[in-house]
Amino acid sequence: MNPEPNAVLIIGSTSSVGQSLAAEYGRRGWRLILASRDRDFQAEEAADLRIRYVVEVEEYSYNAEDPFSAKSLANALRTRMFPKKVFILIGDPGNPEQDLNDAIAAIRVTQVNYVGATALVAEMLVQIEEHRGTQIILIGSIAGIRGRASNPLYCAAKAALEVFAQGLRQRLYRRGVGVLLVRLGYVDSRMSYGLTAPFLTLSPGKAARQIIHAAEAGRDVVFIPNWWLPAMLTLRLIPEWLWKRLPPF
Amino acid sequence: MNLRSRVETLYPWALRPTIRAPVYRPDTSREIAAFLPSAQVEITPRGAGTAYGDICVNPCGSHLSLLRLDKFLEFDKEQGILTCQGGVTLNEVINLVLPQGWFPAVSPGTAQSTVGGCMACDAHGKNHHIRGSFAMTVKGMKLLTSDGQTHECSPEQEADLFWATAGGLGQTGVITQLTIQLAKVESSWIKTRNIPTRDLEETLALIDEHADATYSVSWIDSLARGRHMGRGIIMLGEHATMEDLLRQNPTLCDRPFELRKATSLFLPFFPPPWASNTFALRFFNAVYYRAHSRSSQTRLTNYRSFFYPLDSVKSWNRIYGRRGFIEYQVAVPLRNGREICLEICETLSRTGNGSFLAVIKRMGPGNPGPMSFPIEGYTLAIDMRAGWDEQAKILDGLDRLVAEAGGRVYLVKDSRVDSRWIDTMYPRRREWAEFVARHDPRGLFSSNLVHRLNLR
Repeated sequence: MNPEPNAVLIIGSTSSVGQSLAAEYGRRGWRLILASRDRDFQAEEAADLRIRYVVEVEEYSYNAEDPFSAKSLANALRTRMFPKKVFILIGDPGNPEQDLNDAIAAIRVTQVNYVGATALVAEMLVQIEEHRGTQIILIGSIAGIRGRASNPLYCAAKAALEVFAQGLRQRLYRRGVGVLLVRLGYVDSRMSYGLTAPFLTLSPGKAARQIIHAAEAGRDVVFIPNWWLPAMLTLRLIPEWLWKRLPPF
Repeated sequence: MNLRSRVETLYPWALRPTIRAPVYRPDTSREIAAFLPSAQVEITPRGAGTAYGDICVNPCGSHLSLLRLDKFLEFDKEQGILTCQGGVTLNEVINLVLPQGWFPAVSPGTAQSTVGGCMACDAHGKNHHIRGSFAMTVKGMKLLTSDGQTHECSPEQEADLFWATAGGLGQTGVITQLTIQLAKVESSWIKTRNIPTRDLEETLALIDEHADATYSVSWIDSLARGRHMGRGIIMLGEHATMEDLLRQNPTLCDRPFELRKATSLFLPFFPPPWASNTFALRFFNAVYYRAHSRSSQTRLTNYRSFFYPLDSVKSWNRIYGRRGFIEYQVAVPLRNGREICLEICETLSRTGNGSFLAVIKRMGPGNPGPMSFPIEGYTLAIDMRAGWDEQAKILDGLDRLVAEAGGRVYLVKDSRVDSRWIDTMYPRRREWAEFVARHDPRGLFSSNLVHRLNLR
């Protein structure tokens, strides 16, 4: 079966990058299927997209912290044609200093950044495998390249997502389904506002355009912005005995 | 997730004062509602920062940027009624509604402003004498007061809160949502006519004579002296109809609603002082006068160059240098308006406080907003290089003249007026301050303007 050609599913639609992705696809006249935890915000976003781009927008709810949420979203999606592109952008670095001392919070970080995405893929896997030409875009982070003292939980969850994407990519390759893992650098979003240096920060609109470009080129793994590639490869080459001695960052 | 702040360099459009201060940037009105009751510092709501004066900065407080509240919520194409969030800019509104045959019924001289900002400043446009100010096109709005409560107000519902917010300088609360009435247009073109005048007497007489034109504004040569004093160009405009397009340029009939992109020209540096000295200004004004007085026949102008000529160079506000400039705008009543305009022009021209763009315009009746600027009469707007003590004395003298004549200074553009004139200029200031205090007993909302003039 073929997926619905001009339809895109965006999980985490109210995130800054999610909004920009929706706007970019709206501009191209695609049908937008949005899912987010904040229904009120998503309703405002959907109204805006309908008015600006005169496209059809469907609204669903998805909460990465709730394991049953994946089931209900996947069930709801079964009643319609499967979209050609699935973007999964859920992530929250949490509050590193407190999360490390609290089991519930530690589990939550893993859930939001890793488990939520895998649970959703698990629920939709049958459909994904049936639809040749689908593409899954997982938004990871440059944090997943190497563990850092400032936020080990988040780095670990994002690293897990990378490995999951690798496995999934190999598994789905013969089915004609692509899996793109985006190692996203700092984006000017609600998550990073006030925390990252402006000169390192990419605007959500630019990030979205670069993600779409990479998806259309059929890439497997991509750094966005691309200058993170040499930077991160360098960091990866530092031997562990030296890495652990570096001042925490 | 709690709201986090970021320290940013902030300035009003006239660059006085330029400060570094924390800015919060919420994504939804729910976040603001949760944030306001727990806020421990003064908050200055802020849109695009295109107000000339220090209304949008506060060195001793935090700022609340509303630029992420940029969603359109409803658009009725039949009636031309648009509901959107407060942080939507006029540029976005125009890009959405103009291709469908609508245009903002009232629009200030820049399209970079947000609709919420236009409401809080009660902005006026070139059609004030016909259509009134921005608040008069607002059919309803949602206002978040300092206790986090949402008030739905309109001229019918909670009217006192509505009018206290119109031109209320952001002191009543945060405007999160607005419903505005748009004006029906047949094309994106403006039928314009420029009429050159010899002196201020003629300028004012012709302004009155052409009071039936929808859009009317006059540029005046602020440095011309003697018998040329107050010479200028009266610019009249009407939205071009299909007939006009057919008559003037039939090729436009196929694409009547062509949009213009904002240009990306900008001033990358602060020009040296000589670029805006009296000689340069005199030269600029003379050239501008000659260039425009030649084209006196009716012609079509695109909406961008007619309404927003200054938007064509982003950061043009750097033209007067790093110290910024003074934008002096006053409104004077009809009965003695002419004499006062004459006196102001004469004084400024004599003392060499010249300007690139001095503008004079007829205004229609004001509205019930106690702090709304427009009053029936004339308004004169002059920008000038920020000078030293002597200039302050001259302007203070003009303030006295204006206040005693029953006129007023536009607080949104002001960065210098002395607080002793405020109660004469805005006789309902005290009543407004008492009303605002009822909704904001903690004094949560503030700005440099409010501190400087002790407005509340």
